[in-house]
Amino acid sequence: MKMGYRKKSMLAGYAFAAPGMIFAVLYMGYPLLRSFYLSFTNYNFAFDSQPALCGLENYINMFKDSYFLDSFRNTAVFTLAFFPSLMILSLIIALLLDKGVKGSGIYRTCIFMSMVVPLSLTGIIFQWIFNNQYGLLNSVLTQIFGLKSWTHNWLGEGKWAMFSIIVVSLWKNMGMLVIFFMAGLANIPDDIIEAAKIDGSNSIQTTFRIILPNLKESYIVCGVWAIIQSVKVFEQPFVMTNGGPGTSTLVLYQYTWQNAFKYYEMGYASAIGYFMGIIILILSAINMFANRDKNVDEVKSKRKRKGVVSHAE
Amino acid sequence: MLSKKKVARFFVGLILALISFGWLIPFIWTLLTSVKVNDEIYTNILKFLPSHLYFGHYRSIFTKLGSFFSYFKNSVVVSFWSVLFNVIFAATLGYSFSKFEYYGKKIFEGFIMLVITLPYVIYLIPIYIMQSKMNMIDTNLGLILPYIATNLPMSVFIMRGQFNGVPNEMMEAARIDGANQWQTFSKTVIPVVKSGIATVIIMTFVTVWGEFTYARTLSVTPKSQTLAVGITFLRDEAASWQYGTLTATIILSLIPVMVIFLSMQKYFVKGIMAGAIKG
Amino acid sequence: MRKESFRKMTAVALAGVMTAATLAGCGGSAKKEVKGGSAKTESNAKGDNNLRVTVQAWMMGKYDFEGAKSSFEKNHPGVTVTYNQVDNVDVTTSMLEWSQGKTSCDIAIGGDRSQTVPYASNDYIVEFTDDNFFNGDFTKDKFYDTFLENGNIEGKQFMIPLLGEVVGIVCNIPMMKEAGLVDDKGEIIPAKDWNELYEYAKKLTKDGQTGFGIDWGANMMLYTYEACLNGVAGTIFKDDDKTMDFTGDKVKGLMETWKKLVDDGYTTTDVFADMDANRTQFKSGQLAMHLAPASRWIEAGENLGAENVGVMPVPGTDEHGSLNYIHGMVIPKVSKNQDLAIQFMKEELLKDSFQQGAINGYGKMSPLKAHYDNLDNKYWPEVLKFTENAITAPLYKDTTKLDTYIQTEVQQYLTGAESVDDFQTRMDEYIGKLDLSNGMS
Repeated sequence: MKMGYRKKSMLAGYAFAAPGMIFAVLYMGYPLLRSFYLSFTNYNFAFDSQPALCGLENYINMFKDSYFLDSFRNTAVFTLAFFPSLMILSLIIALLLDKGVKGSGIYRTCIFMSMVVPLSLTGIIFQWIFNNQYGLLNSVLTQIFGLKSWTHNWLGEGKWAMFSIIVVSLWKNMGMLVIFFMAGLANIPDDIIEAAKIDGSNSIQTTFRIILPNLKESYIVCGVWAIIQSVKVFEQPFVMTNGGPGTSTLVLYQYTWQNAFKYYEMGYASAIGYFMGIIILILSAINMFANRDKNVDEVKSKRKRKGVVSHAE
Repeated sequence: MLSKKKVARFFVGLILALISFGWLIPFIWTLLTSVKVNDEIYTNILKFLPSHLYFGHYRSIFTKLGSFFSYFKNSVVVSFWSVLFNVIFAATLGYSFSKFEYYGKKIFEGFIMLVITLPYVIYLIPIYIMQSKMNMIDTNLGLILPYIATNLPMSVFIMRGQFNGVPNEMMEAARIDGANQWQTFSKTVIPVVKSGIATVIIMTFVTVWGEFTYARTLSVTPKSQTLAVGITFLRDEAASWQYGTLTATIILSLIPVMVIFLSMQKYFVKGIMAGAIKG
Repeated sequence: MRKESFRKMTAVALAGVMTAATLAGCGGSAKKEVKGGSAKTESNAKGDNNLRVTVQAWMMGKYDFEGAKSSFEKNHPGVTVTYNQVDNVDVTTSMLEWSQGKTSCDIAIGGDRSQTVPYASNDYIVEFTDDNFFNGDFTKDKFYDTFLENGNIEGKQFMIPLLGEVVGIVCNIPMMKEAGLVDDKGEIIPAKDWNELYEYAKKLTKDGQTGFGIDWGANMMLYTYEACLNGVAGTIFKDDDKTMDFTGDKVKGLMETWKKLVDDGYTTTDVFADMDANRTQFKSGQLAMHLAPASRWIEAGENLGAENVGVMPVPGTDEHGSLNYIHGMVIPKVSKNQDLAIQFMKEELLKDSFQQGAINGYGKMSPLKAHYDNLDNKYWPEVLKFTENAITAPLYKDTTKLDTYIQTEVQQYLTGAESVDDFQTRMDEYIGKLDLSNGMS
């Protein structure tokens, strides 16, 4: 699928990329470099006049820091619980919507609507619903379903706090993934599906054998999106539980923020930030590798190379 | 066979209806809370509907947040420009990454993606110092530029995926018809990826509209403070009877976002459906 | 086609409007703003007659800042006062501004000395001396020492208190009466120690009513601990008089009582997730006793009726003093309006009418002794008793780290995730690692 006139199009390629790249390099060049540099220094913004180089000290200290380890663990737990549920639930809903049942348009709009609430506000809305004393959830459980034993201090008890955050994150992010998956589903040629039906495959078989494998594109896109949302989760735990109770919902992003803006330890914060970045790169690379196509389509192999290159960076 | 299918479709519809209702509950509850009197908000006894509509919370926003319109205006201006340039850069970059081959492309792609892998808090201080030297603190531009930069990677990613789905034959055809690169891009290809553009618009708008960390540090007076910052003025020590006012503010802030979303809705549908027909 | 061109025109018009709006809001260094309105825009050129004050949002609702502004402008023709709201003390933003030689305010209000140390050690703020401040009607003896101490670093006064708070236990009098904890005169019988307090909480807990709420939230945890510890032990330090104490039996006893209150259901932990939970419940009449800044007593009077709310000291603090903290004012050295700022502070912000509005309405304590002469509420003498010898939070460079750490540790302990011995060991270990110098060097 190569373009016939390569040299001319190379120039065009540069031309199209120019505005965005120039902006990005000029604007993010300094911040990226500076934070990279800072991650190898000890620098307390409030008290030190200059950063002091200290090599890999920050990175090493991270693994001795119990709060860092807790936040790493929490982020991992969140990712492990959130990522698969997000992908699976979104896919299921996309498949259901794809059936084109009457009213699908409205249902679709409802589910998309959660996308438009900014994360910080989502936190406040749900903090109110999960409120132990006056919250909707506990009141409904007690008074409508008579299930007083099912009520909990959703945000005040260790494991329930994490659960609540996962639920909120699902609510917020599923809309986006449903869109991606629906686009992916729409791209599957109808004749393949027809052919399968003629061959006698029923609905379920069609789904698993034909549809799911053909969504590889979507898995990559959704996967990267989901990975980034998982590892960089911040607003929900920050607004709803502030990392508590104890450290049960302290995530890496909040710990970075804490180090930067409460302790003013810019060096350490930058190191944690870069650590998060490395994790995202590794997970994205794994995601792309897992979804690679055996077919040496130039588009797909380009992306795979990109995954490897980023990893090496 | 026929009735089985009907039953299945009925259940699918039912499940979807329940899910959709569940999705809407937070909105509905927030709206209801915002029109209840405090006593009805802070009670263990469940009462869905307010006994009477109370608009005091909405009124108090305008009295407590004297600069409400300032904040609102700033949010609108900042969001508009951030979204606009995000779309422009994302479309051009995505097109370039998807349809062209050239030396250094992988590096370009890598650089753009690198931005999103790091938590944005660590960029904040270097950006502040950079902008302070250029006297851009407490200006709208001082927020627009970082927002463009931080939202660019995801937008590029989405647009690139969209462009990948555009068959090259289309561009060949336009070329044969005598169109140059720019015309091919703008007149032929762009209309096909409308749903992608709509997605980018909404995503960027929503992110920027509610963004707090950067806004709070880079804008210090009502001259440039956005609504996201303004809302926090109602939260802390204020008075612990907050949720009435808070929910009212949330509803107010959600209105513009809803408006944009509902108007962009058609583009989603068109894009997805168009893909299906073409396939 | 017509729809196309209509849309195009709308887009162009929209872009035009946006550009205009952005340029107006963009304020380059040489541009002057055209918009009017007091709180909105000012030219970036620092006029000597524009006094800018940064205020925390919640203060705007409790103090008559607008009145102060009109009064000052009337007395100083040609001067304008502008207010900037922030949601919370934000040291980072101030540090960033002042390190670049710029400032968006001439007075910054909020926080106490622990937030001020970075400013002071970098020489960003003005020192208040007898020459420039403590003279005339505002000599030091006219202030409460405890409040002044909270703005003092190594003997130098860097912050003038605007208001003070002190930790006590506010009580719902009708509920206390019902439980038999009120004397014939209708006044609360204070609990003498934590055991008695536990019994009180037990008596006061029943359906729909929680007996006791202790402020263990993000904003108050360290202060609560310090106040309670000072009450039981007479000091919060170890023998070196510098390191905060987490070891020993007194601490253990205190912590165990707290845990017992939680386990037996006489206290809730809602405040972990929502730091205003106790406050909300008290105001809505569902909490009988609330260990919190004493000002909550007046604040709740608005909802429950002034005669139905009272205060009692945290056990031991009537003898040893409770803990106080302030919200204070600093003046950045970069400001060109320092004299004007000091005038504003003295003439308006420390004026009796300005302060008394907040004292009587919200219980926010003025730093000046004279303002307490004619107060209505009968519990003021009680409150002043544990304020006069109140301690101030120690000034550690790593206070923020300690603050965060103690929150998580107490939460772990109270939710049963660790034992009291673990708590004590870990806290002691932690404070051993912290930098306990005051950070000035």
